[in-house]
Amino acid sequence: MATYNKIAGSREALVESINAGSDQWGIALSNTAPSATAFTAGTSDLATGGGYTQGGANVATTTSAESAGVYKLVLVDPATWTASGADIGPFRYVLLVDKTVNLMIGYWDYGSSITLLAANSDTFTVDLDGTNGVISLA
Amino acid sequence: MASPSLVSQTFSQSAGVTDLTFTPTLSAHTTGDMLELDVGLDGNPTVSFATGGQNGWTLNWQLQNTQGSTTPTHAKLTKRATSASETPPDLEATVGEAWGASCRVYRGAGGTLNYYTPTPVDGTDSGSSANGQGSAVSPGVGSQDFTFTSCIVQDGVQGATAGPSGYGNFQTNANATAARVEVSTSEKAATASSDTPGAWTSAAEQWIVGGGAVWEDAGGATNYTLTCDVGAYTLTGVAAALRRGYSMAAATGAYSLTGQAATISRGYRVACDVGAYTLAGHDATLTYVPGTANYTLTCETGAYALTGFDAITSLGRRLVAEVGAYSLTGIAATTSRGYSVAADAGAYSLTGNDATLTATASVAYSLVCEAGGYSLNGRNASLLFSGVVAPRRHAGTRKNYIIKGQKYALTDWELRLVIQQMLDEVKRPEVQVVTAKEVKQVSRRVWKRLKESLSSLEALTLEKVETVVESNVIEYDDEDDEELLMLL
Repeated sequence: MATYNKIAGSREALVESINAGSDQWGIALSNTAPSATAFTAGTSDLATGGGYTQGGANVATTTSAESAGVYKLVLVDPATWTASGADIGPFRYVLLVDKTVNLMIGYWDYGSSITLLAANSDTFTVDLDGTNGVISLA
Repeated sequence: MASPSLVSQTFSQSAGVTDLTFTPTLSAHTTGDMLELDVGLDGNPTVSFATGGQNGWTLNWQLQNTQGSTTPTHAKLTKRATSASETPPDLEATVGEAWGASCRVYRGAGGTLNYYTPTPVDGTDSGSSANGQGSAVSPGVGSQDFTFTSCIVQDGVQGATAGPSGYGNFQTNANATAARVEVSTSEKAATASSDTPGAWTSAAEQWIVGGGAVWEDAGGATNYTLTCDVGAYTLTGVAAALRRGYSMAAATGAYSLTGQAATISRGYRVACDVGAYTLAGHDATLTYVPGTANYTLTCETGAYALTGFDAITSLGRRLVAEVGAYSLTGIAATTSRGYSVAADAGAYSLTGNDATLTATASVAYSLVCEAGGYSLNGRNASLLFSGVVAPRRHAGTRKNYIIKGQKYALTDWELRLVIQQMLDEVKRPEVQVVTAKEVKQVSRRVWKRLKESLSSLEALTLEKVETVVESNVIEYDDEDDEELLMLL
């Protein structure tokens, strides 16, 4: 299981700029570990090609609620990327992006760079935690 | 699939010891080959891609050794070749240092080659002792035909002489210069899910070990899955010191008010109006008894007293207003609220204005009314009568009657009243007219005219009465009257 990495500035963004319950969230792919929260499609993530659209995939919000003193943001898994027509990658990091305000707040590290080969129709699936969510606040 | 093979390897290094930017040399490769680039730098600079110099490479990690000494830096880069002429990465360091690099090329059986490298940890995968050792390599893809790789970067001269146990193909840049950095590599093919390499055979020198794994896909689609952990945030509040419940009891303030003595004087005046006095006489009863001679009317002095009242004026009163002392006492106000009030001592001053008081001279007025003196002058009266007895002339000697009393000057109007009253009391039979021949009673006509004439006189004086009488007698009487006796 990939550990969640908090991006510098994401805490302030969560408090001041983000409405987690109503904003549009997205999952994007990048080969560079983000060091700031600003997100620019095609620059902060992969450019469009091979079945990947820059800016990443929009994901729906399952729940955004507090229970027993813990707030959880639970998102739906993004669609699986399948390389087609061109390779997708290389990439290593999966970004959690607030598409409404174009801010990244965290990322997961695959551990190594991978490239989805179109020749093999390689796929990449991001499995988000459907119970604990992508972020929690206690 | 069989473990990928190392098909070529090339070392490169800096010419000097202060390179800020450098480009490692790549080894020969073809499309599909996995290129693994290990870069070592002297000192502890940070390495990054120069602007526009990434060229499709992935900078997997870099580590700066701080164990024993802050040197060296080890960075690992990889790229799956998409052509036979890949462009090497252009790198730059934060500090110009000597550098060394190893480029190894791995090739599979035609399938897709994958690469995994764990990020080394300072103090675990770095040190300054002999025989440096790296951490386990666990790609997380299960058991595969891996080629596990290991690279040790050391500061200074050649320190490594052999790779970890079970690792073969020991290669080194054989740096013989102390100011440079040494890069040594070794590999191991194994079918496993992970590998924990043993220690390098190396001399005591600052070192960093980085491992990796290369494997080839079995063919067909490779389905990658990333299971994401939840990111946990905590929000902690800071205790706030609250102050509340302060109350300030305001004590009674004492004030002293001192006035200035004021001298007050006022001028009093009394206006004395004119006093009005009325003089009223008493009726005198006159009785005439025929045949009696020497009638004498003795009029006693009437006494009138007019006494005025002294007007008492009192001026020059002074009111001395003594210094007044005033005490002003306030009421304590109790305030209680969550506010603090700093009440400074109040300063009060009362200044009176000088009062200019003017005293006028006091004069005591008094009116002393002296007794009035009146003088009553009578006129000679000739008393005549007709009848059997020969007329006699009674020459009444003029008498001066003095009514002693308070002096009073009758006004013309008052005198007129007196005379009028006397005339009213005189009866016609009592009045006779003296002619050269006789004395007779005044005729009715004359008496009437006389009365009428006298009543019309405003200023009734004795002279006028006499004139009127004479004119009426002369005018209206049938006889030659020469004198008229009047009894006043």
